[in-house]
Amino acid sequence: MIKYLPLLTILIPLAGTIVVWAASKISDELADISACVVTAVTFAVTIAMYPTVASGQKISLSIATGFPVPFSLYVDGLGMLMALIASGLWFLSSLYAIKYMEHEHHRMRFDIFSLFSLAGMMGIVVTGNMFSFYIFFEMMAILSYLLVIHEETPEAMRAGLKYLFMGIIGGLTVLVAIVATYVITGSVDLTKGGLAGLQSSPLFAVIFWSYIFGFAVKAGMFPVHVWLPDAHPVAPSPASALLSGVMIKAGAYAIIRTVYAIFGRGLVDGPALNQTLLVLALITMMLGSAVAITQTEIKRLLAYSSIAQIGYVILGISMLSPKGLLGSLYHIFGHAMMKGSLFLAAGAIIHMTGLRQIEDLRGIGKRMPVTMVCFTLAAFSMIGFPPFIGFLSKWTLALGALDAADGGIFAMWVAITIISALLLSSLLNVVYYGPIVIRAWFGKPEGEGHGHSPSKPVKNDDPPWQMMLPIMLLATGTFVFGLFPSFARTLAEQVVRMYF
Amino acid sequence: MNATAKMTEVHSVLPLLAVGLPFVFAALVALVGERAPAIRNGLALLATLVVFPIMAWMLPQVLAGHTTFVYTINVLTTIRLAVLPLGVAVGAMAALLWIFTMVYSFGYMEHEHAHTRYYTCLVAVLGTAMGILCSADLLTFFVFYELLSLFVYPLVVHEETTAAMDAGKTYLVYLLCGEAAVLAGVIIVTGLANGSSALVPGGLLAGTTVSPAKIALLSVPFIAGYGVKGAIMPEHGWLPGAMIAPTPVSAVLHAVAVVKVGVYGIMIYLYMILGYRLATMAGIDVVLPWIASATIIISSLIAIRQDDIKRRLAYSTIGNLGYIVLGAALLSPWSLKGGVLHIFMHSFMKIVLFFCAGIIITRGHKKNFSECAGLAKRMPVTAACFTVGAVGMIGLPPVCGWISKWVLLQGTFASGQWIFGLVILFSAFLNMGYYLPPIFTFYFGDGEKGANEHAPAERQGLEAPLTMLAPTSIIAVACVILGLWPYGPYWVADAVVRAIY
Repeated sequence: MIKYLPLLTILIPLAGTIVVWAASKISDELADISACVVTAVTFAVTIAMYPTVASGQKISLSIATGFPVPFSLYVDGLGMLMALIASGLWFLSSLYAIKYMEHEHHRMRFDIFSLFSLAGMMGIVVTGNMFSFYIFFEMMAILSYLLVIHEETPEAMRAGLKYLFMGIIGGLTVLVAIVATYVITGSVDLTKGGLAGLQSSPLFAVIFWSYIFGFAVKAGMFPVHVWLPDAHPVAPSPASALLSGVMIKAGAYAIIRTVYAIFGRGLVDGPALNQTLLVLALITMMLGSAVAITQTEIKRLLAYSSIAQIGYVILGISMLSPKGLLGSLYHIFGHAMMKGSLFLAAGAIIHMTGLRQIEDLRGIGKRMPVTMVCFTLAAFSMIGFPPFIGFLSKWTLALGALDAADGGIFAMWVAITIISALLLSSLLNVVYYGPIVIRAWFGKPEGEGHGHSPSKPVKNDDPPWQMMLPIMLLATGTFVFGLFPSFARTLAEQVVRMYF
Repeated sequence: MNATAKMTEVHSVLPLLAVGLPFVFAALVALVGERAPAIRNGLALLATLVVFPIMAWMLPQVLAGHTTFVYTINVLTTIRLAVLPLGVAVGAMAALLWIFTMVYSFGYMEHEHAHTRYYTCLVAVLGTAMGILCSADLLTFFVFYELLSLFVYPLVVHEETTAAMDAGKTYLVYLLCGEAAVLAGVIIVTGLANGSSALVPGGLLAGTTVSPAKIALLSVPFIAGYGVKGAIMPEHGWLPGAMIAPTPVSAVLHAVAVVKVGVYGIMIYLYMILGYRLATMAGIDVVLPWIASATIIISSLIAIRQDDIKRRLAYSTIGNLGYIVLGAALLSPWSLKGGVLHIFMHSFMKIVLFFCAGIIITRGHKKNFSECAGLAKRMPVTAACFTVGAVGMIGLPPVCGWISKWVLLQGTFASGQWIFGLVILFSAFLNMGYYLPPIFTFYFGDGEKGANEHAPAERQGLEAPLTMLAPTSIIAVACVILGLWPYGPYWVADAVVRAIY
């Protein structure tokens, strides 16, 4: 029975689209609620897989398609971690969307394509070979387009076009790489630590970079990140949270599988592959932060911050050391909560007050205290204060760099450079998250002037509970899981054991 | 992979029925004519409903049971019918799609003239197509090939406007020249093989000692001749013009039967007359893939610039025929399998696109993509079906096009011709360039421009009647299912390659 659960995590959201469609005939609100219920059920099914996977077993199921490659479902520690993050954040974001989307148009379309994207995302992380993976990878890339352009403003349409075209070009490049892998090795399984035979091909570096190109587009890695700062902010906030919190991680997840499961870390080790990747990751990290500083619009700032954070994740992957990979996985998990919380909080501000410019957020903490407490917590985690999870991942990444230097992956000066970059990037995080937090708590709203007039009791603008709860849970998660990484550690360590 | 898996020959009347019955029905359709339109239409549909089961029944026996159904008629020259692996597969698919086209025609042709001529020819063309796909030798092939062109002509010029007549003239000139070239080739082959021109899995000439130079020379009339119907550039000139025909004709003939028969001709020439060894010696795999690649890329570049719906689809067809020829020309089992698979997948997707185009043209009175802004609101099902087809043509899952692209890519890689893999990739980018913008226009265009915004009669009932919508959406759904579960087509393509390679 348990082996059908991964299939269910895909089928439930797919079937859920019909439920949502039927519900929308009654009312849009009901459609939103049923979408939320569907994501909750998906999350529950995902949790049901956890005990099995946590005990070290792998769930796998293979369905013949008539094609030489079967349709394969496979959940190991990595897939489990990703599935939990995805379905969990999706559930919270759908709950949030019930109120947030209240006055929006095309709510049914949003719900349906959110569920389609969830099905795609779940499919990406629970499939066991690249043939099945690719179906869902493209499915998510295309169908999430409808989330990006939801507002249908010219700006959104332009961003959406970039998102879609880059996504498809990346996807098709990946297809070519997958087929090449299949021809050379006779297999596209993701269940091993490297496919035999790839090293004998003179083109393996080309194949590697074809994979990385396609996945880097999805992840938002330099230099193919250009769609991200446009697409993430224009989407409605619940979708932004998913795009930044989960969907770019699909790219990171795929890079992990490419490096460790398709090529194997032995083959990737070298200047043309992992060291170039490492340099790109460092550039991504610094560039994202540097540009974030110059942003004046809160959601755009968060989007650039996401680019920086994906840089951390890919950095950890390209270190090829156990701790590096562990740090990456922590960061995937942590960033999903932090950025989820931040985007939802930013959305709450926009929804309740209509303010988007950081400039205008002076004193917002007094109007929306709970929201801003959560925002502050998540921002602290982003900066990397202990005991937040952001600290844990950066710390682990730094240890990973030292490990890698010890293990001969690269020289000690590289490790030191990486650690300096991590520290510098944390400082940059302070530079762009700090002002928002400080302004929120210590500034005065524009209209009130500077005099010490007896202040009127400020109206509480915190959003309704459907929106508040997801923000609070995610923000709390950033330090609870920072102190007790528990399940994330169990799974992440399993992944590390599998690949090292 | 060897072709020596012996085929058992069984004398059977089935091939004769598959080929002959459509002609009988065509005669009946013509006889009944305008006197009883309902009966006439019923007869036309019945013809397709009879042919498909025959082909479908023979399909597994030919492919798995290694049985060839043979029937010989002695008139003037000997007409030999034989149901061979590749032919039966393409034939069964064509017969299946003919059923849908016939149903679609009922809706589409409602307001057209000359119904009897139309249905008579459409049914007769089915017979000629089955004749081509069930022929046992090149001569029989040639007879039906010629007949096909003639029966298609009235369909091309159906509208009888000056433009249609001109297109018809171009059509005849191109095709008859191509056929003359083929006939020359057939004569030479018959001479080389001591009076036989039989199609032999593995190659008729495989055992002979013909010099590679001669084979190369012999290939010119064949490839050039079949290439006309297969729309290999620069012989594609007739196809965009022939799109003036009623849309069901464009769908079944210029996406499925006629053009696929052209590439079928190239395939049987390469694999059943020459055999892949001889073809390799003659350097087919050095020259032809480049011609196919040029066709793929150039046609896509032209397609991007077309605004006319059917013309853009026509150029897309030319490009996709290029894929099939590329697969066949690389002379490796995987590439051939990709080519065969693409015959199926492309037919399914392209017929959906043409059906949608027909609905847009007759119901929406739009000829160009640029006029279709906001169409999805008025024709949701049509727009959805078009989207499925278009996404599939780019090669994105879960629509079936990605399966054949996968196998084609595998073929290019497996034969070490990486460069053609890049051609396929680049072409997919170009496909994106001309298939995605229409979808944007449909869904996010700025609503209907012009006066008919306020004409209530124009606004309602734009979605087509069920006779048009049902075939379109059923095949669209089939495209998605085949993309996730390509069981049938893949098995067939695999068996075909095993039998003829």
